[in-house]
Amino acid sequence: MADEEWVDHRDDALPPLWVGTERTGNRTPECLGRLYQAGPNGALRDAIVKVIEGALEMVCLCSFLLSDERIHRALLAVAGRGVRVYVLTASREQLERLPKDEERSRDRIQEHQRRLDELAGKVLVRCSNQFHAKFVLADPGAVWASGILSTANLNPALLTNAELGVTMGADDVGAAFAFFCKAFWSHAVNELRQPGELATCQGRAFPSPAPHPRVIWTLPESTGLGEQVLGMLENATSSVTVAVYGLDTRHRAFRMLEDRAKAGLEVTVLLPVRTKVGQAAIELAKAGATVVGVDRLHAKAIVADDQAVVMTANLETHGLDQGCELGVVLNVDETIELLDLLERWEASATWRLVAKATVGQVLGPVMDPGSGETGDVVEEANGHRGRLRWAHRTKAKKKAKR
Amino acid sequence: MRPIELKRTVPVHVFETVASIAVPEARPDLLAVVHLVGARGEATGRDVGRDLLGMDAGLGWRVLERCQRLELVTREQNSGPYRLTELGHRALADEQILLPERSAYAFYWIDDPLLPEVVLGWRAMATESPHDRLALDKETRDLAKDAKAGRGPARAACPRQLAGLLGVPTAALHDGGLVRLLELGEGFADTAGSVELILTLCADQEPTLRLHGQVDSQRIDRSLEVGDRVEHTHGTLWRHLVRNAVNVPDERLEEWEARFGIGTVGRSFSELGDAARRAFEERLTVRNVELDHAGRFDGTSLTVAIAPESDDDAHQWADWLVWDGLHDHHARHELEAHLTAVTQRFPHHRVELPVPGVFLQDARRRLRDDHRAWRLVAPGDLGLWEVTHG
Repeated sequence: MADEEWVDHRDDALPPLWVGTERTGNRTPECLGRLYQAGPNGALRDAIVKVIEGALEMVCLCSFLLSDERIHRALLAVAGRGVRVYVLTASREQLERLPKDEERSRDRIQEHQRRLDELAGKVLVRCSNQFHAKFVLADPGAVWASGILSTANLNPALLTNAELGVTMGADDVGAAFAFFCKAFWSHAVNELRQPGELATCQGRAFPSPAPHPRVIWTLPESTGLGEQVLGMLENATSSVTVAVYGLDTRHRAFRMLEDRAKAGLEVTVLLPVRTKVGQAAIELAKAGATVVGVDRLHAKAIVADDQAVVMTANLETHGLDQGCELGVVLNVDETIELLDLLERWEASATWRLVAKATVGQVLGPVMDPGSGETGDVVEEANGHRGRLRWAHRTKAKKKAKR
Repeated sequence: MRPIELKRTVPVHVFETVASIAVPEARPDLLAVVHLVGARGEATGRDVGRDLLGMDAGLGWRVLERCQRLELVTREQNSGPYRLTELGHRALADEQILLPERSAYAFYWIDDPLLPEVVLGWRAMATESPHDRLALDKETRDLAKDAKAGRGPARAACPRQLAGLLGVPTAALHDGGLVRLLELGEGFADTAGSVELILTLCADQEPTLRLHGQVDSQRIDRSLEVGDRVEHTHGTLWRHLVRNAVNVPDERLEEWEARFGIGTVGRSFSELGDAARRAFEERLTVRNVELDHAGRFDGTSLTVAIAPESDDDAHQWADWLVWDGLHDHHARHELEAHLTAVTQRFPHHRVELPVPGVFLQDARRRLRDDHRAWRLVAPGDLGLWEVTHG
């Protein structure tokens, strides 16, 4: 040991990495007034169930996937007492095309299809390749109408993911209902008549919903939601905070976000730690944005200065330019609630993206954003040593010196 | 009105016997004589000898005598010139001479009220070779021996239906070939399968008859003259069958005809199945079709136009059709068009369907039990109800 020569790697440069923060990812409380976050206590799910159970005449539900047991039972219960229930959901073709590395596993899809078959005949279910929005409306048109927009699919994601929900008042529900009707009549491709029996449906001519100041959407004939998002990013003067599951580096929204970060705007981006957004995370961090990785993040929200939107669309073509997506522009109180929540998520984020660092500046678990390969940078004696690709390189150098 | 088709199975009889029959052959020598006699009206031996043979009259007379034995020509009191017989005229027309032969034959025949005493075909059971004749004689002796010992079929006299055809040229049905039965001895009678007889009556057309099946490996499929043995027209037969099927008196048939037109049967809504309600047609089952001179036919089914017996039936029927026709979601104006179309299917009744809004209310009540109710309720709930374009 006496002749062992130590090589100091603390000044070696590291590639861009997710670096572990040793934080817990604690996401309580789940209810913040009009805003909800998903969590193990089920506050968001309870709010959705409450909307359904409170319906006297009609429930309109849209969810890409639908397999939550309590929501399922609530739908059957209200249908049993004569409430008309309409459901829009993903088509089988769309589900079969889902990549297997998505958080939506085959089991969840099978459960979704089994639940739909149980609903068949009792509620009216229509499917489409376009439907990705998630929301529930009760008694639209009535003064007691209520509703809730969820970024979570109505499945176990309501308890496990980092998701958002925002309640809607009667006026919002009216606008979301107009969106629902348009999607139902013009963009559904199948109707579930009997368990397992999907009838083809032709798109019907139906009036497009009138623009609404608070409820915004993407439809094949309308990109109001995308325009709102781009406008918010473009017009922000002090800060932008974005939480999003999908982020396409080729999309205009990404480029605008990157440009604003480069221009010195305070940009914070909360992303799930998944390889599909790895490159976007690196580029945003390089542009100067604060990028943190939040476990199981699936929420989609943007706060630009004092404007905020919670939505179901990712910052991708299929979301802002195509498909059926819904968003709610938050009022001041809700915006404060959202900012508070996103700050909590940021503060408790288990990963942060470090675009430029040396071995000596990093200690603990690390992950390659592009490949998902994990490792540790550890301190030994009077230096730091990593155990990833760059660590192998340092070992080799050490042997050569001997 | 649709054609009416009646069928029955007709047994085919077979009679195997040693017989003399005359069958057609192309005999230019004899045909030339027949032509000469036919052309001249009558001819002597001298005519034949001179014109055909270029020889003396004696040979001409012998040729004419040969023709006389074949019953092609005849003359009065065995003297004077010869004239053509009926067979001779037929030979002239067919360009064939029926020449007698004697052998063992199987004759296949049917005896049906619409086709009495009809020979379907015949088959020589042995050739003229000495070997076959010996075999035939042995077979006949063996059969007789068996019959005597009670081990086989008894020899029978020629059946009446075949005996009635003796001397008359008869066309066999399977190939239209002529045969003239000259002498039929005792033989063995049996049945040899069956053929199907089909009587078809169309409105404003003569009835047609068709026989098809297989006899002794020969396929038979022939259209035949019905003649006057079928007294029914399409209309009278239709009534006969409907009366039989629905068990109603003539007065009721006349009442339906007066109210709904020819060929329509009044029916109560509750009696009908879904297919009949949709098509306004019903298949009536008719058992035991017995026609006076044409005999008994198999039970059949008759597809008839139907109409509601009463205005109440019409109303229930129309309501049923409205719901049955909801194959897709309907806007109000589409339901109105559907209601109009349904109403127009009852030109002989007073049908007043409720307005679309009443159907929408009804649909909400039916929703739990009838999935079709969604096709009104969903448009009502989700805004399509009032959409008028597209």
